[in-house]
Order: sequence, then structure tokens, then C-alpha cells
Amino acid sequence: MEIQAIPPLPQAPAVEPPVLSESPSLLPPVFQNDSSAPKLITQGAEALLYRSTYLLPEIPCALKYRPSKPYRHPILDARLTKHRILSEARVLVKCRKEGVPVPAVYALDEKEGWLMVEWIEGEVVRIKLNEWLRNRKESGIQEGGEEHLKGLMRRIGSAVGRMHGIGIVHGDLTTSNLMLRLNGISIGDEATTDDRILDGEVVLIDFGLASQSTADEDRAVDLYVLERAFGSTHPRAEPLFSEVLDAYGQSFKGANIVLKKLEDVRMRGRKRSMLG
Amino acid sequence: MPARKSEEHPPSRFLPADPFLRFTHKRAQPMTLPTARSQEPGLEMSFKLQARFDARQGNRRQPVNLTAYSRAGSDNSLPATMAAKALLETVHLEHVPASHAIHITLYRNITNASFLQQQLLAGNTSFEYALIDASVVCLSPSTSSKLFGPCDAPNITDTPFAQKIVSRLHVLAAAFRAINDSISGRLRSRNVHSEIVFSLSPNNNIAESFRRFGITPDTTSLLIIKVSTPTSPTTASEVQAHLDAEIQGEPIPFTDSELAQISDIPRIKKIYKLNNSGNGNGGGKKKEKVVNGDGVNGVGKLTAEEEKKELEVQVLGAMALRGATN
Repeated sequence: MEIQAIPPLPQAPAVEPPVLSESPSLLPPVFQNDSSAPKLITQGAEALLYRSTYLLPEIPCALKYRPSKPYRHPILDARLTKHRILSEARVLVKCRKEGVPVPAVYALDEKEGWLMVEWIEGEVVRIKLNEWLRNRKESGIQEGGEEHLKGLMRRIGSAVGRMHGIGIVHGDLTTSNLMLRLNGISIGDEATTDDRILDGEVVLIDFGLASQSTADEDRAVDLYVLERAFGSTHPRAEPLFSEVLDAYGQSFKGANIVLKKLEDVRMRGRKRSMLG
Repeated sequence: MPARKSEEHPPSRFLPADPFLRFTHKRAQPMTLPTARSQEPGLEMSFKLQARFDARQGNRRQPVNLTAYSRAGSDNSLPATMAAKALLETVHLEHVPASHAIHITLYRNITNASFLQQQLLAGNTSFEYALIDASVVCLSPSTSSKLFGPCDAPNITDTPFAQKIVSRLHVLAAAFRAINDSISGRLRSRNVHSEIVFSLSPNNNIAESFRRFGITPDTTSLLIIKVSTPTSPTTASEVQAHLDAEIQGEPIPFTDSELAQISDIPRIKKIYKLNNSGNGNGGGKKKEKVVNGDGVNGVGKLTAEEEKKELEVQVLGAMALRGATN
């Protein structure tokens, strides 16, 4: 195993000089055959996200690439990358199998460090929600008309509850990791009106920090992180967070215990005291 | 819209003008087995069953046994030597180098499957194809277990004749994985063609994957894939000429609708372990259904088309995760 892990290293400089000027690091060899290079969408601490195609030009996909870190020992680097790619893929496949709305896994190569998943057409909740809040402010509505936001909060709560119900915790629940899938039907007429902005199926994305756990503590921390995310990114939507918790409470057996645990977590924060 | 629908599923689909083409397997299949049975009731069947039993147990040591009993007397109602032109399709997968084109074709009413399998087992390099069994169900699982007796092997309900291919994408994904592994020098089986068959499998058992997805002496419908590689470049016309000469069967287009007609959904779900997917009530019980009943997330009620799509992506995920160990 350890002897095998070393050879890729001298191979890396052998590939052609960087032609993809827009991408900060070179994609794995498979993606260098492409006539049109995958388009960089966003970049996280660990991975780069591209929009690419799967098998046929008409099937879009999201390509998550974890480049090797030059500061890590090559063997450790390979192991960490492999572990993270596989655990993310496993969690996604499990969610999909159990009917939790997540992107489907198309293909992966844990040695090269890439994962190809379904492309979700739509926008993240953070952007949609801010757009909706801004529109409301501009049109001077202070009270009422919150039905759509309430609906969205309930959909988020039930999606998170579903995920927890099958024994998965997300690990990084923020409004940037929740998407609203654009349904073909709803694009049609007046898609920009307030009523339409918050429409769409809630899809959970980015399971890079997810793990399989049924501990109430982990679930409560997931909710707590989401609550804090709402508080800091959309303070005006925070009063409605109770809707999320309400829908969550109905979503699976044992959710109420988690909600009780959430109160403990609120008192002390995300990190458990290590004083014993 | 209605006009288009009728184009897709014309009632005349099974009754084309060409009399040969009337032998679609839906019609031909029920006719063939009874005739084989009635001709030689005892002996013939027991030999065939023995061969199948060997195939199940993975007795690859005796390829002669597997093929020797094959299909004697059966299929005599089929147009045996139809020299029809293969409907070959050449696909260039995304991200794969242009030198790795793949040629795909689908046949039904194959009559020389045992010969083809023998070529594979003998390692005849001119028959280097991915030969994927696409036959329809012939023995129901219950019949099968009755015939073979109780067995605690997990694949006891694995009838040799179940169409396990969901769609074109299912096949293309297997080809993509095999080619990707081949390019990076990570083949687990003999060559890229056997790797395609192996790639269809959700687990690491190569012999089992060949048994499940590969050609058997009793295969009637066959999916053939040829990968052109830089070391052995193959043009479509070469493949076409070779298949036209060697395959005795009726070429049909490799389309989703042809595959969907014959795919055995419960078997596919079983193979890829997708049975616990309770769409609409995954982890939660009745309470969750109430939540869905509000129509909050718009899931829960899937059309047949969406259901097939869902099955497809779940199969793709299971295939992608094959070999995931750490």
C-alpha cells in the first residue's frame, strides 16, 4: 500500500504545462482531454467545484475536485483525500436511497480525488432569501405576507429532519449548503415576483463534513449551526426559525428529544466542554 | 403532445412489415421453452439445468460443460441465420480521450450465445467485446428455487434470464468507469471489455459480476460493446463487419425504450440493494407522510418517468461506489 502510494508523485510534474489559466490548480488528467474545460464555480478550503458534463454533452454535472496538498506528506495526503471523497459519496448515496433530497452521485475517482454529482439547477437559499428580504424592504412591507418564507422554513426543517431520521448528520448546515431546485414549471410566468422566489424543492448539498451518526448531540449541533447561520446571514428571517424547528419536530421519531438537546447546546455553544 | 405519444408507442411496434421482425422476444420467448420441453421432456431440461446450476456456482473450470449442453433443440422457431446488419452506434464519452471511442449494439433472438461465450472463455482476441446479457426473464425466482432446491446462497433468486440494464446511461457509465480505470492502469480484470461487465456490478466479486451481467450459453438478447483503444484501434466498419459475420441474431436499436421494455425492475433493485428505498417515507414513519401531505417539498408522488430516472441515478451511485473501502 505504502509503496504503491508513492509513484503518482513523480507523475504529477510530467503532465503538460498549465493551459487552464482560469483554474488555480490543474485538474486530473481525465479532464484535460476536454475540448471545453470544466468551468470553475466556487472554491472551498478543501475542494474546487466545477460545472462539467457527465458521459454525454447534454448531461450537466458538478465536479468536486480535491487537489493534493503539497504541504502534506504524499501518503497521508492520498489517504485523507480518498477517505473524504468516499465518505461524502457514501453519505450521498445513502441519502438518495432513503429519499432525502440530495444530488445523485454519478462517478468518482478516489485516487485522483474527484467526485461527480448531479447538477442541481437553481440557487442556494442564502441568495434567494436575501433577494426576497431585499425586495420586501424595497416595497416597504413591514408585517404580514410571510407565508412563503414560513413555507420555505418548514421545507428546510422537514428536509433536515428527514436526513437526521436516516442517521446522517450534515456537519455544516448553512443557508449556502441548502439549495432551491428550480422546477421547469415555475420558471415560466413572472418568476421574479416575491411569491416565486422562495419556490422549489429544498436540496441539501455539500456533504464534505457529513458523517453517519444517530447521536442526538450531533443532530442538535447541526440545528444549532443552522440557527446561527440564519442569525448571522439573515437576521430578519431569524424570528421564523421556530418554523424550521416545528417542521423538524414532526419529521421523524425522536426529533423532540433532539429539540430538547438543542436547548442545552444553545446554552453552551457548539463545542462540548472537555472539563468532564 | 398526443400525436408525439402515439409515435413513441405505436401499437404496430411489435408487428413490423418484415415477417422476420415479428419474432420479438415477448412473443418468441413463451413459444420456445415449451417446445424445448415437449420435445425431450426429461433429459434435455436436466442437462440445461445442470449447466445453469454450474454457471450459478461459478464453475468456470469446466467451460466445455457449460457450452456443451447449450440450447440443443431450442429456438428452432426463431429465424436462426438472419444476416441482418448490426445497428452499430459509436459514442464518444465526455472526458474520455478521442482515441477511446466505443461502439455499441444490441441484439435479440441470439442463437449462437454458447459459441460467443466459448470464444470469451478461450481468450480469443478477435472476440474481445464486452458481451452483456440483456435477456428477458424466463424463469421466475420461485420456479428457479423450486428447480434448484433450497439454497442459502444470496443469489438463489438470480435467474440467469433477467434483464438488468436500466438504460443507456447505465451502460455508458460502466464503460466510462472501465475506460477511466484502464487509462490510469487500474484494471481489475483481464481487459477493458471485461472491466465494463465488472463495472456494472455493485460489489467486488468479479466472477459474480460476469455471472450476473455477462453472456451465458442461454442468452437471447445481447448488448455488445467494443472499445477502440490507441493500442488496438478499431473502426466502426471493422466491428460492423465482424459482428455481421459472427452474431446470429436480430439487431435492434440501442435505445432507452427498447431497454425499458425488457428491464426487470425488481431484480435490478435487488442486485443494487435499493429495496429499502421507501420513497416518501424514508426514515420517519407515518408522521413524515403527514408532512409530505402538506406538499411542503413536492416529493412523494413520482410519475413513472421520474421513478425510472430515480432508479437510474441510484444504480449509477451504487456502481460508482463499487470498491469503496477504507
